[in-house]
Amino acid sequence: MKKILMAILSLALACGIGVAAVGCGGSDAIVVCGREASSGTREAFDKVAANAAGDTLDDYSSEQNPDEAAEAGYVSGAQYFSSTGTLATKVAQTEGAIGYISLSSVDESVKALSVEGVAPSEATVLDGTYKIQRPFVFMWNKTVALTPVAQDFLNFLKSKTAQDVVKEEGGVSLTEGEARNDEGAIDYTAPTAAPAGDKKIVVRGSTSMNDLMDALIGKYCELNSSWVKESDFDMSLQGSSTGREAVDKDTTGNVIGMASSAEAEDTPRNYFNVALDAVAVVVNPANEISNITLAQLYDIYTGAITKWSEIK
Amino acid sequence: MNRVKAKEYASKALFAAAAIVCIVAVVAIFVFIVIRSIPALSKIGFFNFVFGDVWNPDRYDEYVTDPLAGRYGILTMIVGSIFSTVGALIIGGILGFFTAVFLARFCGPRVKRVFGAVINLLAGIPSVIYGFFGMAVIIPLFANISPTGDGAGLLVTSLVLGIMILPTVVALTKNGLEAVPQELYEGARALGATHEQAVFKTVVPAAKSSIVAALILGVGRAIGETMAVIMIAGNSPEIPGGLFGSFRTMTANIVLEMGYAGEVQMGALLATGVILLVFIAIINLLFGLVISGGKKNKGGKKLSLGVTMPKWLNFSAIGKVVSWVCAVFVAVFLVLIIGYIVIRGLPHITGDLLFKNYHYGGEPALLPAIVSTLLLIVVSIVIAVPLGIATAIFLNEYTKKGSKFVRIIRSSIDVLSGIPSIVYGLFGMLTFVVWFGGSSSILAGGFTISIMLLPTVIRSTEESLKAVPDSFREGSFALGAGKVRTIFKIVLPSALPGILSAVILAIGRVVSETAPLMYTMGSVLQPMPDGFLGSGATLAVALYALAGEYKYMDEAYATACVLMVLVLILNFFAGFIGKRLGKKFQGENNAVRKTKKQSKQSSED
Repeated sequence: MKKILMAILSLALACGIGVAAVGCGGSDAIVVCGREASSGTREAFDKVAANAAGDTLDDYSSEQNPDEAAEAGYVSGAQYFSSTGTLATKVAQTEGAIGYISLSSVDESVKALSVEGVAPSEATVLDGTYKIQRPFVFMWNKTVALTPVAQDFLNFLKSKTAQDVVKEEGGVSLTEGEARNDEGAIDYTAPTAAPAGDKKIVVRGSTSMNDLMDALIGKYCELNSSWVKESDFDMSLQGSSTGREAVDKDTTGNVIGMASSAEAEDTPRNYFNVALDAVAVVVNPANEISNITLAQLYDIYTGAITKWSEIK
Repeated sequence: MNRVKAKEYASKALFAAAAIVCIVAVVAIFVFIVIRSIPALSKIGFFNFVFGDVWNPDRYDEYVTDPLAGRYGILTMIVGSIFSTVGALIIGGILGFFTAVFLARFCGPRVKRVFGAVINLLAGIPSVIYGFFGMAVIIPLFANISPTGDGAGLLVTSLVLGIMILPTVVALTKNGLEAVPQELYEGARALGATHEQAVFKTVVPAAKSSIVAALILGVGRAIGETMAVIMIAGNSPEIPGGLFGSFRTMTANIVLEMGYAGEVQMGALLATGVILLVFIAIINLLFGLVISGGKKNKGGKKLSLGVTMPKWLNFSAIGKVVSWVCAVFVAVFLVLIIGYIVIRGLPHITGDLLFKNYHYGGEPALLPAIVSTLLLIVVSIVIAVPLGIATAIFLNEYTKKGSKFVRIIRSSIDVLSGIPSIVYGLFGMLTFVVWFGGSSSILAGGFTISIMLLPTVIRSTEESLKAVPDSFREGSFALGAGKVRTIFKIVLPSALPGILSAVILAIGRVVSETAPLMYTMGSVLQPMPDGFLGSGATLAVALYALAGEYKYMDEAYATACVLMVLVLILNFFAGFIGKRLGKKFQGENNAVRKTKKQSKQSSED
């Protein structure tokens, strides 16, 4: 009897501590969430979010403020996540949170904002009115010749068949030459016999392109089922920077890198853009805001705006 | 006769060789990390590195670059690691201590058994799951009282880390409390102390050294944790501004940047590993001091304290209540985390998810991950267990007791068992992955994990060997058996239960480890691995990968559920084997004792 009483008492106390924690009210503060420095999503976002003077978050982090900058420059106290999944979970759970994820990862648990009055969608990405967009890039080494198998796989990636896969996966297909940085989508015909040499193909880079690449490899294996094995592909993804790193270090000519942000003009790598993707600015569904400007984003991520009530 | 002698020498050589391999492997990690970090340290400057408060690395910095474009100060992360560890110690230490007291002295045997098993289950839950639980359940709770409007940061990290070190603290404290001779307790009661007074004033002080040791080991766990921390700490490299400030720990720094780090940056990450090693070494040193100090002043003056000070009566009574509250709190937390995973995951476990092969572009399926996990277990157990057991035999059976050389080896093994798994991952990525063809493979992951397991296997085997009474060995020698024969026929069979449960716990660690495998074995869901040189994700990594793009959260939670069941089964097996075999050998002992008693009785008659 005494024991039962004790158990009830302690349960009450333990619960009491829990309830006390819940007791107080919410606040209007903005919880700034971003991705880690190797993320292509972050790079794409940082390059577009700019203030009235045209300074982007990218400039802010790398040049303007190297001393006070925490990790490459968001406001002090910002939180960094190592995957889309953890960031989206965070935004879905936190009333005051703001973050950015690939449009294809948005579901009903988070709310995608319009940017400068334009909602993210395939159409607004293609016509360029939705500003925060980035290409999905395939890269390979400039100095080392690709192995025959890697070259054949690359031809497939450049093909119209690959573009069909892009559409199936919900990406914004790119077939025109200029936006792709190549001659445009080509026709791919599967080789009748296995190309010579080692068949291993190494895929490294952006986690945002995981689903797309999975589907592309699946299609490629289907087309070349006579000689390609799925295990010929060695895929490991840890962010766009890891893809560039792997391509730069490639000495065999079998590395295909993936980046989910645009390559620089003076890039040391060969590349082409296979698709476009919108980076959606996401907030908690309970948040009443539905539109945001690029300057506001810049101010939020640099700490000039800290409260939701300042955005109207 | 000569053949026997040759056999003896050959076996001794074999055991010694195993010991040398282990020690070399173990020293190699240390030397490798230190040597690889020296150029970076000298380039950055040791002082600037340790006391610099800006971390803003530049991927294109090389050792020839002058001046460096990036800045490499890890002070903020050192502070972050210390703060979160101290927080974890406060929360996990208090909860763990009182829960252990509750289990050891304030509950019935049935509650004790079930509760104890469940706490062991906590130890086997992959840290990724703790991370998601922290994000989805605890942080929203804290958000309400946080001035920043968000619950992430120091407090929640300390709480989650505290819960994660709880199994270690509880297990060791409980063992310590149970090892206190019952006579002390009975003596206190005989002098008129209540049950509570006897426990808190007599038993607890007598177990002081093992309690402190438990806390120190817990600190080692907390400082080395990675995956859960990167989900809930916020990760901005700054000194935590209050309980809800975003901060980054040293381990988080390594895992966030190792994948793409440039030359100087990689050096700086390795140097971060070195600083972590230094911390672990200090913690182990403290551990050693406490243990040896505890042995010296066992018994004696402390014991009288409790009974002679009746005015402290209230303290003991309060202690009892606190024990109850802590135990209930832990139980509630356990129910919450297990319930959370089951509710989110169980409905989504389907036959297709579990037993269908995954193909590129298809629906996510776990069969390749299950196979990869099994292959990884095979590789790591095949390497770590024979080597570890042989080393332990060499250390325990072939060397002189108390020799300085062995003591040094032993303490270096202890240091290694405290190294954060992410440091092993870093080591594996820079060595094994390169050796096995430059891309992640099951073999590379297996070697990495093996080295990580070695210290645990060696230590627990040694413990079981030590527990075998010397009279067994002497009896065997007296009957004319050689050393090898004695070891294989007498010592090892008696130590088997302990060794087996150590192996099963090692498998549990393989199953739930994430961070060191992501860069050595594979980080995304893949089709069936192509042998040991193929890459693949284990279940724990698959869980992280599935949650990675926020598209397969249901499948991720289902994977978590599967993992938890797996850990539960492993724990059950460990307990079962330990008990079953233990009984068998204890049974023999009892039989021996009984016959003695009987003969005594008969002679008295």
